[in-house]
Amino acid sequence: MTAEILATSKLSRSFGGVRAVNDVSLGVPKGQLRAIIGPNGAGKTTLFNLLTGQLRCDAGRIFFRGADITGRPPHYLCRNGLARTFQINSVFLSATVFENVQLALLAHRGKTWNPLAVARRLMLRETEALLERLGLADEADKLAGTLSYGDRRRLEVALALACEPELLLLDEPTSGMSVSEKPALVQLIQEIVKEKGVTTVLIEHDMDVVFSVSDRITVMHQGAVIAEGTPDEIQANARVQEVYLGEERHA
Amino acid sequence: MLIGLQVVSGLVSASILFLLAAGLSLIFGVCRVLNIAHGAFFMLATYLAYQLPFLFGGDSALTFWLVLLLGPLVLAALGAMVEVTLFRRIYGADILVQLLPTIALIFIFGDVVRFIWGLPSKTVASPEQFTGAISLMGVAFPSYYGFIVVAGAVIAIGLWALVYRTRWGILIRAIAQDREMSASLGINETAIYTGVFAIAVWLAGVAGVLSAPITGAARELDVEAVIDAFVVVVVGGLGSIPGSLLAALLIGMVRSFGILVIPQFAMAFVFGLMALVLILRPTGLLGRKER
Amino acid sequence: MEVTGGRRRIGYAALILLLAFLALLPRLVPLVVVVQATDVLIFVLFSLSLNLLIGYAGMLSLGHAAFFAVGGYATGLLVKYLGTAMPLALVAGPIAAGLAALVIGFFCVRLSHAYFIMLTVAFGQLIYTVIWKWRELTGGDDGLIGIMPAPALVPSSAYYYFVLGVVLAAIVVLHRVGQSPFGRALRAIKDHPRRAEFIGIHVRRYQLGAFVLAGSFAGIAGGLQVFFHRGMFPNAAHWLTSADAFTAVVLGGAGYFAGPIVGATLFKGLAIAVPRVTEYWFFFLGVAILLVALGRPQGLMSLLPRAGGRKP
Repeated sequence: MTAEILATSKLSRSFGGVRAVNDVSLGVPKGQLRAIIGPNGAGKTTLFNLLTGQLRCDAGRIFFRGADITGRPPHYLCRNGLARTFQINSVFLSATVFENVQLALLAHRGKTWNPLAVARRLMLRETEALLERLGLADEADKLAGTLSYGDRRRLEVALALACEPELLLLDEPTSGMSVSEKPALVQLIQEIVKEKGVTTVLIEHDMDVVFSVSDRITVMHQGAVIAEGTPDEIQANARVQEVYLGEERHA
Repeated sequence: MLIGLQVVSGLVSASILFLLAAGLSLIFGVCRVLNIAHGAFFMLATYLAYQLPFLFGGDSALTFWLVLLLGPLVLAALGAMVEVTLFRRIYGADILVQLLPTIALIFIFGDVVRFIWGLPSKTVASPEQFTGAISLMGVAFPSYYGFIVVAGAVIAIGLWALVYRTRWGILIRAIAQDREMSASLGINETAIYTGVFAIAVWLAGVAGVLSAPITGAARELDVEAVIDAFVVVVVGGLGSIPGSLLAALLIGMVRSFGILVIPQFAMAFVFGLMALVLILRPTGLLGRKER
Repeated sequence: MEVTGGRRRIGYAALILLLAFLALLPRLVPLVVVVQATDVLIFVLFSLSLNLLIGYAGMLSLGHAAFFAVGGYATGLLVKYLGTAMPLALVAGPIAAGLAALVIGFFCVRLSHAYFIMLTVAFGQLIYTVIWKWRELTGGDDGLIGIMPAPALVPSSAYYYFVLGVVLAAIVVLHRVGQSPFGRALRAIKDHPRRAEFIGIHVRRYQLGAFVLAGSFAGIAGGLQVFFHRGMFPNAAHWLTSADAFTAVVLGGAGYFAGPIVGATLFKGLAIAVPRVTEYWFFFLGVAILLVALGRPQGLMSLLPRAGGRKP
């Protein structure tokens, strides 16, 4: 339990009469790259929403670095080592790429409560470095709203990394990207998380991605965890195949 | 029985508040527009209540019924016109852009009223048939109060039936709940929006006509009325008609009894109630909960 | 997205000309116009304070006059009942207004959009009613009167320079706030509140901060106003006063720092010119707002070819 950076205990959440997340208990050790997979409606994104404090849990507890964070709001978590990307692009469309990342860096360091400093002069080197790392240096002065879809997904990841997370939750980071763009981003993410030792939990539908990068996989179905194991174990698991029959065997 | 009278008074307030708030809630729930001008329609209705009797040649017993019938209908027609020419252009726009035409309407209606009826407010006579007092359970109160309460209750029931028991009601509830879904179901939203708007303004019209003998016809009523509606809707939950009813009753009573305690400033109690609700249940007593 | 060098020089030149004009105003125009200019300056400050909420944080407050009035009345009451000297009384304005904004804002920011708007209107009217009904303290609708500025500032042109100085200083500060990390955070909250939350910004707290800051600056304007008019009346807190500032912001363009400045000046100009032609000022105003809403919702500043730089 103490080596686990993220642990949940019987996490549940219902909407109306439907159990979107049903008694989920899982543990992710530090440094692992965990994938959460499952058919649509399995409760994966809801689980993320519970972990990040966007949704209240009906039951259960969440532990991060050993401490109980159940019910903590998102802004608290992001200042304390947990970051998330969204399936639907969530970047600041009215600001430039540079400003997006710069603001995230400033916010993480607690510098945004300052009404008198001149923002555009702050955290320049750090911003450039992060943009460089994510391959966005050339786009720095473009408004985020004018970026290509693939670049916006990169920006999404950059914003999450700006929070210097120990735990990174990626909700379908490559969703909507073209087949040619995906591998580059996936590889980049893999490199960065290994480099910085960031524990990563990834929701992903692309099975090629899942099986190639994950250390361990959790499979969800109708809100509950139905299997957990290494990629090989999961591939061989009959129940998982049954659930996925006809579903995501393609990219 | 002073308390008895306050209860009746509270019910009268509640009736009017409900009519106002329900309309506001309908427009917001379905058309997704905050109609700040709703109070201005109410205000217009009080002036119609003042003016229409002259058109019907003075005080026959029929006059009041005619005014009650025609006044809100005229207003509803005006509302439909406004919806088609103005509001239709701003659906889905930035909330700031949506606010502007409603503010503009308040100004325009105010000056139109001033142009037609001048600056000073007007008194409106109580209807002939309700000038006496009646007694119920040992409490004596003006019969007109009784009528307002009954009218409010009847309309509340009618509204409930409309929204929960008719096909049209199912449609508007569908639109209110899930916009994209109803669009993809091919529901003709344009006509429905106009209908909803017209009904909402009709409700404000009834409220205005009923209030007129008590409040008179005055231009300041536009802001007062809409704030009343706001408070009810905040307490009850925006988009919830049962919420408006519950909140209207609550606030009507609080205001009525508040006057007994601090005559100058019953408003304080109403705001106190609102503050409490805001802390305990921010989206209103029966509003849709977030998170 | 920097403005090109040439355009920038024109911008600076225009600014210097404007400042020179303002500095020389009392020598160039009759005293009546100087008095009107003072009025405009105060209204500009009030409108700029509102735009901190509308343009930056995306919080549509229609009850901002409450803080204008609280500032003015606080200043005035100190002078009337405690004989406080002008500088100290003026400082009390924003402090009182800021406190009021803290209390009112606490309730208003708990909710968003439609609820927020409704609450600001309701609280604004609450303040109006309190001021109006508390006759023993405020004088009710007889007003708080006899509030004189310091003897040196009694002449119109002297007070004009004083107001000009305060307002220019406030503009510099507000501009800085806009460029600051706090300003950026507010804009982020307006752009994408959830994402702002997820980079570690406590959205509610920042919104409250913006509300208090905006209220405080409105309080400064209120303080200036009470000495300007030698008193204040409850209508300073009325919804119509809030709507005036709101209109000014929208007219000029909420998305531009200078928008409220342009809008407020234009508004006051119209308020002087239109009544000479018709008594139906509100009808005119309503139509003007409609035209802006349907034609150019971004306001007048959007007509300039990015001369004012990017959005605030």
